[in-house]
Formats: sequence, C-alpha cells, structure tokens
Amino acid sequence: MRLKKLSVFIFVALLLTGALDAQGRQAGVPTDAEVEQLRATIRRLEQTTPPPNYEAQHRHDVAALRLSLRDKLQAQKAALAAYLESIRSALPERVPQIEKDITNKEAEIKAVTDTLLSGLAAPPTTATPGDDHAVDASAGTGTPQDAGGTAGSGQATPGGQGSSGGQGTSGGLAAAAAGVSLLQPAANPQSTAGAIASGGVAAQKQDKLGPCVEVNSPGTNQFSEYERAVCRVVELVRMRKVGTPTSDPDITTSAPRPNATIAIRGLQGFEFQQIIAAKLIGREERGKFLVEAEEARTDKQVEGGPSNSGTTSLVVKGGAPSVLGFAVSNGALVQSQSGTTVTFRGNPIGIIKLLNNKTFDESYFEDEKDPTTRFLKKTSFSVSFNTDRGQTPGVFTADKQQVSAYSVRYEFINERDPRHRSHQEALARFLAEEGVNLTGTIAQTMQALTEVTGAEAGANPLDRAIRFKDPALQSWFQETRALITAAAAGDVEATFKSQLDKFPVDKQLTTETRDIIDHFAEGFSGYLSARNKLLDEIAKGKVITFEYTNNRGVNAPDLSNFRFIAETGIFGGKADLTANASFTIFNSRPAAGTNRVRDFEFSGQLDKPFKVSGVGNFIFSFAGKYERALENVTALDGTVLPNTKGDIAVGQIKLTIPFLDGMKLPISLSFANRTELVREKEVRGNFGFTFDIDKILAKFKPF
Amino acid sequence: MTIIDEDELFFAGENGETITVTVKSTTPPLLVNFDLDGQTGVIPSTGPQSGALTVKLDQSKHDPSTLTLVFHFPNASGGGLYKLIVTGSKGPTSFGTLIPQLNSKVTAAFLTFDVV
Repeated sequence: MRLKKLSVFIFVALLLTGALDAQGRQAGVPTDAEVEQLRATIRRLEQTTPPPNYEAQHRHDVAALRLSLRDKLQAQKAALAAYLESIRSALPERVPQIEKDITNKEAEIKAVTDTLLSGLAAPPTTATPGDDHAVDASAGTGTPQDAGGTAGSGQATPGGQGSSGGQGTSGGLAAAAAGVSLLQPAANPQSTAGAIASGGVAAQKQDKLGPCVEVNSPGTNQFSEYERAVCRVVELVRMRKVGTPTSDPDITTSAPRPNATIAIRGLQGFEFQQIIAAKLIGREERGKFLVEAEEARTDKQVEGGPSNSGTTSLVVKGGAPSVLGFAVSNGALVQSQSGTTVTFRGNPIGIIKLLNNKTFDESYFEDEKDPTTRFLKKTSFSVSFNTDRGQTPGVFTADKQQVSAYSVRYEFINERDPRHRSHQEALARFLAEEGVNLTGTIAQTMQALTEVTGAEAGANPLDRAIRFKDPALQSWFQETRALITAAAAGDVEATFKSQLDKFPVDKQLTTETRDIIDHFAEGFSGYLSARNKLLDEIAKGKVITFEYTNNRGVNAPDLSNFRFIAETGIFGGKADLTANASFTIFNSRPAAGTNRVRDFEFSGQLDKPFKVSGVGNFIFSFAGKYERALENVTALDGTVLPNTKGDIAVGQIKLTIPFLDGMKLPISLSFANRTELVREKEVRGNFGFTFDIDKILAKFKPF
Repeated sequence: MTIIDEDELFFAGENGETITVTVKSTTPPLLVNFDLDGQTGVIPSTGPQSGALTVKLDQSKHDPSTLTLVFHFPNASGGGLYKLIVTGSKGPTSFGTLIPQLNSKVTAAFLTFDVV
C-alpha cells in the first residue's frame, strides 16, 4: 500500500512539474551555476558505488536530485521563453540563439525525465531483514498487478510531460510502478531518521550530547569542544536547509536549500577534525580537552542595583562586556527579577534593531564606523518595576505606577573587551603565532585526511569530488551525507547524532589517520591553552562605568544616585574585584534646612567562580558596604524617622547557583550594624532569581 | 569561477583567473588567519587590502588550489559574525555566506579551487 502511495507521489511530482512548465512558470529562476552544480552532483553520485544495503537509498537520492534538476531546467526554459517573447521584435538577431537554448533545455528535460522513468523501472531491491537502513522488504516486490494499476492511473502522463515531454508512455509508467521501491526512503525521510535515532543499529556506546539548542547558545560553557563541533555542524546544515533571512545582496546562500548536507571541507571541515579527534582519542588523557567542559569563568550579572527591593546585590557590577555585547548582538533586553523588583536592562542599538525586526544586513558590518553607534554601544539603560506598587499589587503590569527606578549607564573603559585597543598588540601576536600555527595544522590535517577525486587527465572537472582517504571514514561519511541530504531541517540533529554512534571505531581506521589526528589534537590543544591564557590576561582588565539612577518613591522623596563603578580581575583573572563609590541627592529638598545630599557610600565585592562537575558554574561572593547617611531617613509612607542619620556597615556572603540554562539562583546572607530605618543590628537572608531572556531568544535566532 | 559543490566550498576557475576572497566582521578588527597552498599568514584588518585576499590560479603550481581560513571569536559571550565572499575575475558566479559564532571559539572555512 505504501508503495502505491509512493508511486502516486512521483507521478504527481512529474505531472505537476510538467503542468507548471506548460503554463510558463518563471518563479525562482535558477542560475546556470546552480544547474551545473546539480548536474555535477548527479554525475558524481552515479559513479559512486554504494555499500551493500544502501543501493536503494542511493538510487533514491539520485532520483530526488534529478527531480530537482528537472524543476530547475523547466524554470530556466520558461524564463527563456518569456524573455524571447519580450525581445523578439526589438532584438531579432538574438532570437535564433535563444530558440537554440530553449531547444537544448527541452532536450535535457526530456533526457532527465527519461532517465527518471527508466530508473523507476530498475530491478527491485531486496532488503536485508533486520537492517534498519534497508528499504522495506515489501518495497521491492512490486507485482504486475501493481504495475498495471499504476499504469492505468498514469494515462495523463503524456499531457503531464507538457511541452518539454511527450515521451511518456504507458509502458514507461508501468515500469515505473514496478520499480517504485526506489522512492521509499524519500517519501518519509523522517521515518528513516527516526528508525536510526531509536538506537536499534547503534554499534557503539552512545555519546551523551547536550541538545544543540543549548549547546549553540552563546556564552554557555558547560559543553565540550566535541559537543560544540557536533552542534555547529547540525546548525550550519539546518540553517542552510531553511535559508538565512538577509537583505545583503552579497549573500548567495540565503535561499532555502532543502538538500543541503554535511561537508568534509567547506564550513564544517574543522568541526569534523574535532569530531574525529574526539572519537579517536577523547577517552585518552591527551584528548580529554575535547570531551570535557571548560573551566568556570567569571559570569555576567543581570540583577538590579542594591537599592531595589529584595535585591541580593550589595554592589553594582560594571558594564560587563557580555551584557552589552550580547544585547547588542542579539538585539535583546536582559531581564532580571529580584524579590518584587523586575529589572530590564538593554542597549539602544539592540532595542532599535529589535523594534525594526531587522534581520542581518550590511549595516551590521558598518556599525563600528559610525561614532554615534560606537557611543550608543557603550550606553545602556535599565528600568525597574516594583510589583508591590500599582492598583494590583503582586501583579507585574509594567505601568508607570510600578516604575521604582530607571537608570542610564555609560562605560568609560572596558579593558575586558578583547578588541579593546590595549589588547591589540597581544591579539596581533596571538594571530601571528597561535593563529598561524593552528591554521597550518588544520590545513595539513585536511590535506592528509582528504583528497580530490576525478582529477585524472581528460576527466570532466565538474565530476571531481572531495572524499576522505580512509575507507572506513569515507564510507561512514557517505552514508551520513546521504541521510542528512534527505533529512528535513528539524531532523538533522537526530540523524547526525545517531550516525555518530556508528562512527568507525579505532581499529577500523588506518594508522595514518590516527597519526594525523594526534597531530591535530596536539595543535588544537596548544591553541586553546594559548587562547585561555590570553583571555585570562584580558579578564584582569579594568571596567570603569558611571551610572545615574533615579529612584522613585511612592510617598518618600525621589532620589538621584550617582555611582562610579570600577572592576578588575585578580588572581590571574580567576576572580573579580568590584568597587563602588556613590552619593545620593534629593531631587527636591523634602524640608527647609535639609541637606541636598542625602548620603554617600563605598562598597566592594569579590567574586570567585568555581565549577561543580555535572551541575555547572557557581559564584561565591564576599561584599562589604559603608554608608554615611547625612539626613534622617524618610519611610515609605513619607514619615521622617528621627535619629536615623549616621553610619551603616553591611557585610554579605552570597552564593549564585546555576539553575537551568540562562537561569540562576543567588542566595545571600547579610550582616548589618543597623538598617537605614532601625538602629539595631540585623541579619537578613535573601534569595533572588535571575533570568536571561537572551538565551531564550538565541534559541529562535541564528545570530 | 563556478561552483562545483556549495557545501564543500569547491569551486572551479580558469587557469590564470584571479579569485578574490573578502572577509568582513561585525565586530572589527578582523581576526582571520589563512593558509594558501601551504603559505600561512594573517588577513590584514586595516588598510586598503583590509579583509581581502587574492588567489591567482596557476595550474602548473597548484591544482587544485586550497585555501584555509581560520576565524577567531575572542568574545566568549557570542554574537560574532563573519561574512565570506568569493568572486572570480572571469565570472560568472560569486559566492557569499555568513559564518556565525554560535558558541564557538574558533572555526574555519576550507575552500578548494579546481583549475580548469
């Protein structure tokens, strides 16, 4: 029954394309280069001998490509015909050449159609029981009755061939039905992937790989180089299959290409070198750097300032490059919720791009040239809402009544941006030494692992192809490539990861391959060590930021806080030291004779990140604050509390626990000689919850 | 220059044809290394040749010619994006694609130029 459905599918495809052609379809005219590339791919596949049990899959792949080629040729022919009519009277001298081109297209369309039909008539394939990759055994047993029935249903074929065809016969159609097993894998590539993903054919222990949507999230560092390489391959193929939204005319890969697949070289060659190395030596000491997550590094902070309700922060952090850089790059807000306070921090450039719903375009490459843009990139703002306020306390309504504070921040110095001028010399040296070494290593690795076939004298250059020299590697790649070609974009990850479980084991690969990979791993390890050393140096850099915050009281006076924030790395960049100095003024004097300056304060914080295996990156923090209140404090109801002037000292310890991807749970314990309101010692515990919306957005946006 | 296989960045060019490879970054300066048939170096990030590399196809020396480009992403928080454009002096095809950072520290592009 499935076979009959599939035969209908191919006939409908042929009929539909023929009918469309007859109507002069012109949409999406492919270029000659695209057509030529498709021809070359088909020629290469024709010359490839698939391993046992993959003949049917291989024939299907070639047939699918021929259908695509036929579509493209028909589109080109229609475009030529339309062009011919438009210039026939104006440029009569061009007519013969265009007519000749149309005739050539028609001849090729006919040839492709003939080949498709004769291919359908190929002898049925016998499936191997128990092999999930093999075609359904029933697929190869088409009966004369089946053939006759399909032939009957194919009477419309001559018409379906349109102007380009006319060669279709009931005999050809009958033969097509008999060989319909050819199309079995194509009709439901997901089922093939699903069958493989079920693990029934896994020859090796399955790798524990993180979901690619998390692994590919920028800034997540709990994944290994191997996982990153795997997921980069997955994402590059997926992006190519669905296309990249861009208005940049330079980009020729923006249109969806559903048959996009993995590559030995191209944009995935480096990742394949890492994958091979991880598979070969990942369990050995010298290969562990590939399969283990990197060390914890100082993380960004997205909480609001210490004046916000319920915050666990005693000290305000500087403009960490990750916060600004990430917001700029992703056009997104950073949101945090602390107690009853919800804070949004963002960057004007990011917001403008977000509101304009911009996809990638050339302007992204021009930003740095514009001084206004450069200035705005260093500027960020935040708005805090207190959900206890407003007409429905406890509910976040984001209306004006709930606005408890807003701030503007400007980053004067950020030496932690690797592109800061203070690092230019180190970066140049890194490129000239480590970059050159890595580039030479991976280029040599590629030359040693792969070769170009079909380069013999007299061969058609377009028949040339790239392949692995190692037979086991090439066999695995060829099979995987075919499956990824047929897979829908959403199935690429499952299909590829499933194929990784079938990766050739050590003994199946040649000694030469192993030696090459050892050389690669050594070079890549050296590069990563040098990179970490460079980043540790950069992490020692200073960040100096100014922040203005307007705190809006309900009954209490509105206040303006001016804060200078300095941050620097210590212990070789493994820990972070932050210092704040600030003063606060009343926006208007609450009473006659009151000082305009309400208070000043100094604070400091030490952050030490550490990694807990299998859980994630924690941050342990110590903080202290001294505040001098120059005026008595005004309570929330507007009452001025007597004898509240004076000194306040606060100490705090805090543990920030990773919760889920993009979410953190900071827990703090504070000790104070008094509070602003009460002259008594206080010990207070707080916990917060930070949530990074960028991580969520990143799951839906490629960049 | 024509495209033999887009996925593999496998191109065909005429003997003597000049291939221009241009690289741009969303966050200059460029941090790109190259290896052209065994000769390694750094793609200039400033000056008139900023981001550009030319390859003159010479069948007597290299066939195919191979170019490896290594793209560095120093900012661990992501957001890096490179653009790669390949054009041949004799046309008719040009090729342009985007190379996003995703969660990578470094990546590469391997281009192969068959000389015909």
